[in-house]
Amino acid sequence: MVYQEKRQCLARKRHRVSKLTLFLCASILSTPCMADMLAAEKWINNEFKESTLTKEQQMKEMQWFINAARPFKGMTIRVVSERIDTHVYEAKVLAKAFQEITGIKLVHEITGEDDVVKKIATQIELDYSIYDAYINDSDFIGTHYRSGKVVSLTDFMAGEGKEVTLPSLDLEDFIGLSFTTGPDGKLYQLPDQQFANLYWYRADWFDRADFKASFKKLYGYELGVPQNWSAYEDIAEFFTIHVKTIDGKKIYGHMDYGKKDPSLGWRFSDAWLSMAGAGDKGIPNGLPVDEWGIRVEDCHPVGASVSRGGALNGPAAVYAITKFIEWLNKFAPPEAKSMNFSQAGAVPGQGTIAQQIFWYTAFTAALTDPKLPVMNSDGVPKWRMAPSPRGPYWEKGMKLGYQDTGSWTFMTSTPLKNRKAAWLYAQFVTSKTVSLQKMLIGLTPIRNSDIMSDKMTKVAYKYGGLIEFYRSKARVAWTPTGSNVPDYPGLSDLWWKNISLAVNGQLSPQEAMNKMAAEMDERLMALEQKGQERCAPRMNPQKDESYWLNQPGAPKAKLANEKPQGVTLPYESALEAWN
Amino acid sequence: MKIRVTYLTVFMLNILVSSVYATTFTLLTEELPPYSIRGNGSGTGASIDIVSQLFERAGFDYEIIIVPWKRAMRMSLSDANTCIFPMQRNQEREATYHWISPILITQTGFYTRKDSPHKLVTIDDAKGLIIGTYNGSAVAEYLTSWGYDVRITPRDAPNIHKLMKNRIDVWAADTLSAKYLADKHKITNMKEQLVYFSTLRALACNTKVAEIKVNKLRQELKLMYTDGTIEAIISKYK
Repeated sequence: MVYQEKRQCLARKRHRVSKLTLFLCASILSTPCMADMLAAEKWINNEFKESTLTKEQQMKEMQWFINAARPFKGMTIRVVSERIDTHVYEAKVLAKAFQEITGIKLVHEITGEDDVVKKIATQIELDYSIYDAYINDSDFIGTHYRSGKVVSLTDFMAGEGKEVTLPSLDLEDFIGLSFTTGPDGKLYQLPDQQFANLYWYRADWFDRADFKASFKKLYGYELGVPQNWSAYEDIAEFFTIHVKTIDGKKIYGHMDYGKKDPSLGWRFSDAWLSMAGAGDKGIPNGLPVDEWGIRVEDCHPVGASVSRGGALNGPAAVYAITKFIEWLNKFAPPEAKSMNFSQAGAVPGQGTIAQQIFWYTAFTAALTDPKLPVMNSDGVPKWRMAPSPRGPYWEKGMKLGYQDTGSWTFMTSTPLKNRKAAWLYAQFVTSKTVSLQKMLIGLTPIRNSDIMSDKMTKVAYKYGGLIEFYRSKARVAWTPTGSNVPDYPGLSDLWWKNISLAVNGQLSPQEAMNKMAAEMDERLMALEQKGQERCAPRMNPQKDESYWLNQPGAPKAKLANEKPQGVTLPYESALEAWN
Repeated sequence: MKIRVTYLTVFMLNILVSSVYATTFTLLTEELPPYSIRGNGSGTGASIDIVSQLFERAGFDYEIIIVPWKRAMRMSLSDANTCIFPMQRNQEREATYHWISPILITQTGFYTRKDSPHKLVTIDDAKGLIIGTYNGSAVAEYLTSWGYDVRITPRDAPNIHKLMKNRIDVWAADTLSAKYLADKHKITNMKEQLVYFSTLRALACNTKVAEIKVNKLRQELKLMYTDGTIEAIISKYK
């Protein structure tokens, strides 16, 4: 049989086959072979031209996939992810490449993030296999670790998945592994794409001499990249109230969104409180109190309200919500209040926004469309992204922003054979053969080798500071939701349901956060009663808030002055400040 | 005295609970074989059977009415004690209902004639082709949002005939519905090319429905999955 396969391989010499394919095919007698290697070579030549591997290394990597996939040939594997450029590329292009190269039929579904969350929560709760793998945000790490329903990849790679684990996977090269590792030190998810939440501003407007002069005259310091919320607020006021119009068009010094919708929750669960400084020091999330305001002791959540040692309704959290509402009302376009995440995302590209404190870099590709008024004719953006300004409660050593890390996640309820085949696809779309090209399409880096590559150096000027950010030491302070949160899908709706009450004026920020903290505690107590596989909540008894506010760290007592002097820096210095 | 207080408390609780539970729910659905099939009484079908079983197990009175989907949506948003099923749960609708989910996990596929020259490996391969689906379906919304050439009919059934007459290249349909309609119309020249989307279908109740009732229904639904009831009902219609 092997001999026959080899003969068939060599018989295809009459086709246009490279010497490399022939060599690999002829020298590995067990390869099934030539058609798959021809497919691999076609994809490498036509699609995966940009790679940190040589073509020979790429071919060897593909050859490994072909061999490893043989027991799964003909199977249909179903995976799901949210709708961003990177995953669309995977669904349309990489799934097809994988299928042609390995013979495994791959259906990569794309849907809304909320739908992904509902589906994975359903599979966890019902032990009912819907998908063979999920690309699920690493914000779920605390949930997955505690549920006992998610496969530990550390165990899988060493055990039943050993023969389907890519030798050249090079885990050390992934920049987001700390986000997907549980408190037990085991890897539970493999990063597939990452994007951060940064400060965005119109560099061309900030460079205008007339604006610089009038800003300095009004506020007493230079117009530049704001380092604190005081400066952000001053700049927002400057553009909305004082500059008012540019070239006859109304412009605004701030953009945000406030519609009652699940996406309003992301605006806060994605680390807004940590930007104000509500949590504790410690990377990635702050210990013992994280950016959700949840305190943990020995991996057990013990409370979210100040009376139990949490910080969800503490002065820093209330300050963060107050500023969100105040800026939305005073400095953003009037329609922003009734927009959701998707609607608001396109607005900075329309050319009327001077800066945005909370901006997802996933919008980079969309905002570099040459047709947009925020692009120069030479393909260089008029805007830049920079590390975000911090609130008055923030201290050095704390996280300063959010990083989304969509990661491959495998459930124990998925049949082993399907799980193995899906693991092959997960490694294929994150392999070095593919990852640099994927990064160029979606701008969501996962590998250090790609970020530091010559190719990215050549094209960095196009992306408004994205590559510079990922090459700087600043990136470690931008992290996803961490392991303090024991049930992400079961708790996250509290954000939008409660904060919308404050945005709509039905409750004050303090009342809304008190209500939310009480509800968060109730749900944590319910989890304590129900129990979790490990590290379930063990709630603290309630104490007078002053007890906790007088302890070091979070929850922090109210500052006498929440608006210190504004500080700005030139763009280059703003990045260097982190190195 | 202590016993009396307990007795009164339980008695009062019973009154409270029975008054809370006394309402008759109006459960709205559209005709969508094999999920809901108009017939004598309240009809049959996979989703009707599941929802009926759910309310019976929860001990709630209910009435199932089959109406056009858009009317069902309107009524479920405005009338208290009214629910709609099987509804696709999504981000835009999240805040407008109480959700009991999933009552069904359905799949949508692309169907072509067997002799079609088009090979659909990924959803992208349907770009440029004429895709038939029906009004109000989640499929139509999904494909339109991706910029596909979608032709929408008021009901799904005519699409299978349009496909056979080459008036559309692809029929995007629920996998159970497609099989049901192909069997019913004795269509054999049709093939399933790509099952491209899975959907959680929910019972969506008006936000005025009491939380205690919603939670009761959620608990019962979970039990129906774990004891195999859901699987047994679905398998009857496969």
